[in-house]
Amino acid sequence: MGSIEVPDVAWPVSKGGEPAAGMWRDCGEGVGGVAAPYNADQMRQTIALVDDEETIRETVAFALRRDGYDVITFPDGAAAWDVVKDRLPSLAILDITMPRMDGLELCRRLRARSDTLPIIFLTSRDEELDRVLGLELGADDYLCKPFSMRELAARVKVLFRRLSFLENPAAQQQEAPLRCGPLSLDLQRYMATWNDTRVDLTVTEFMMLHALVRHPGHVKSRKQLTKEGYPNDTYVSDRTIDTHIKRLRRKFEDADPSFAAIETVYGVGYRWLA
Amino acid sequence: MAGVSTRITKRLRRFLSRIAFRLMAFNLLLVFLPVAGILYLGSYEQRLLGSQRRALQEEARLLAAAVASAQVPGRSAQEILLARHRLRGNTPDPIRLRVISPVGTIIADSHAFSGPPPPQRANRAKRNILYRAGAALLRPLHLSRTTEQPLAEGDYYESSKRLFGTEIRSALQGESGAVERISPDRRSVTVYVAEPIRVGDNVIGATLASQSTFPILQDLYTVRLGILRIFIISVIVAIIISLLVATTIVRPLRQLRLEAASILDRRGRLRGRFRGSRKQDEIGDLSRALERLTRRLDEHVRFIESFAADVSHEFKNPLASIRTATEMLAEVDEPEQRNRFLRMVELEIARMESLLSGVREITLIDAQLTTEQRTRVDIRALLERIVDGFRLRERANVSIVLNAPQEPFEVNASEDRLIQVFVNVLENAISFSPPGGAVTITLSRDASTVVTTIADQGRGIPEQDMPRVFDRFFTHRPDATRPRASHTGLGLAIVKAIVEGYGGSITPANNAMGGATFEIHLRPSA
Repeated sequence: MGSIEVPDVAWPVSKGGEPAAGMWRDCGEGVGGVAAPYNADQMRQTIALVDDEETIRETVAFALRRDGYDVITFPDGAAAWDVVKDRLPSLAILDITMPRMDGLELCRRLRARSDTLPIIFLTSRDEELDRVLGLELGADDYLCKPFSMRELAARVKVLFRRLSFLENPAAQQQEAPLRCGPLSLDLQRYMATWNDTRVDLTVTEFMMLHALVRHPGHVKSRKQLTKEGYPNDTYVSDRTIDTHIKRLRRKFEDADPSFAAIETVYGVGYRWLA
Repeated sequence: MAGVSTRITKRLRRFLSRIAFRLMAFNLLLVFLPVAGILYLGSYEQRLLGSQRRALQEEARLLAAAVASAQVPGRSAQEILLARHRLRGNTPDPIRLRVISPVGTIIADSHAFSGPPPPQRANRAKRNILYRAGAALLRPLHLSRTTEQPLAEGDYYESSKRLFGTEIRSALQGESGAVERISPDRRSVTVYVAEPIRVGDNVIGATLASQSTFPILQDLYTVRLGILRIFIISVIVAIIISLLVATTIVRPLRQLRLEAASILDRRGRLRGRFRGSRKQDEIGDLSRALERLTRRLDEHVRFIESFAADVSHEFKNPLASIRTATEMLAEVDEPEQRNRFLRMVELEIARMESLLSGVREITLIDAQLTTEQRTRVDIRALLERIVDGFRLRERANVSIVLNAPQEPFEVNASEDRLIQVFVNVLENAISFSPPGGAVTITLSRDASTVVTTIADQGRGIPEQDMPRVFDRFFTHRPDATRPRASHTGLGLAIVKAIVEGYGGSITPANNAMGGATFEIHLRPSA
């Protein structure tokens, strides 16, 4: 364990132009003494954490650094963009409501730069989540505050695994995917295909889908789906589950307009029709 | 059975209590007044007949007196009548005067020179179909009243040579007598009045005055028909007015009721608002008042909802911090780190507490502004006290300058609320002031308000944040030196709520020193 006495804003805010050399290395001192240069050997992943809450920045950065990532933190979207526009991080965790530039705008800009950069949103309102989902910003996952750190860490891990597969498709599969009719779930990389067409799912959506598909024909209540989708979180509303299911259906319908495998069981929940 | 009858009575009561029905009933009642007039005409007719009879009696007495005072009673009678006829200008007289001998023979007759009265015009009024319909309707009323004996017919009486009817007989016995007989035209009644002619104590004959009531009746019939016409027109007008009233009053009311029903959904929540009306009448006023009411209510509900959302959002951040910090606490062992996370949790808990008290404060303001007594408060004296307190607290950190003319600046307000206003704005200014900076308070007047400006030497307000500085929970402190716990983002929201509650205004600006200036306008007390 190295020193964790990082400044409030762990990353010096660049005032335009190229970031100073060695900048990325400086921020990595959170974990294990002298950090390796940024992405020099693909060993250390850099996570950009943007949140206007100082305590959240501090604790989340601490936890992610313990897990072996480089973490750079920013108090608002504009400060983050100033730095990351020149060198994209490996993964971004964004709060939504922030002064200067909010998380949505920053996400849009990051997406314009990279299709594969994993982005996780931290939301603090149900209606905020609905709005963000409606915008189709292409984020890879959403966590509602107050989220569990374990939950966040698990998702970061999954997203990196998925990313490595996307960058290296030839990688060996260690485990056979779960198949159910035209659906195939790769439980290692959290990827779903329908009739061999890839369907982009967020980690939460994937976990819910997996819960449904594991027992085809069985009804899963919203409570159960919450538990499956957010194993460490207990603060998710039923409406959020409905929103996720709606999005799941739409994503599959985009791939196959005749898709109707997820059935709503009124008053109970949802089930997968085998 | 009982259920059915109560349902019917309930329905009937509902129908009777409808405004449209009541208006119709009132209008029709008014219309029935002319009918009362028709009934009153009956007694009017009686009076007319009475006065006619008296006039006849008068004529008969005059004639009797004239005949009695003449020297030769039989012969002079005809001359007296002739003289009377001449006096009247030789016009036909509707009154027929006769002088009757004690045995009933006619001695003199005014018809001898004036001729029979002109043939009576057909009574057109009575033949009118309207009149007949009305008479048929009112017959039951008349039947119940007229129990008199049918009258004798006058033709036979008139054609006989000797007149010896009851009235003549009583006149010959020295009493005046009167009888009504049906006129020869069979459309009216002729009144016969006889008076004795006395010479000394002897009755030497009788005078008979007779006149048909036809002209009176004809007038009455015409009046009745007129009233009937008015009645029918009134009924039509009443119905039209009722319908108009129903459409101009009841329809908009029903519209309002439908709107009211559609505004609340099945669960009783507000789902829309009254559309309001452009009508200038009371119903228009009502609908506009309802529209304002629902709009206000809607705003209030919206405010509460967004406020609740804001509060929950605001609480989720410290909660998230506490959650992650406690998770970390479970995972780290070094005392130094544990202390750090514990401190974080404490700070966030303190922040939630100050948030809670801020929320409490802001929700109380409305009630406080309406219930608290307002007194004359001298802002200048108040500011001096506040500044003294701040100077003690801040010591050398930030200097506070108060520029105010030596005169009172009085406003009508609650002192506690004003203290809240100035303390919050001052806190804000001080928190943005650099060490050793100065906060300047200036008190002045403009045309209609007392102006307090509070200027600091901080970094000022970024242009894009200007519209949001009063938003609840909005804070922007890029280089905050204090923990967030002390800035809930409610202070200026509270200030604005109070100032506007007092009908004043507060505007933010950036000053020449690069800092922010808040200008508070309050209405002076009268």
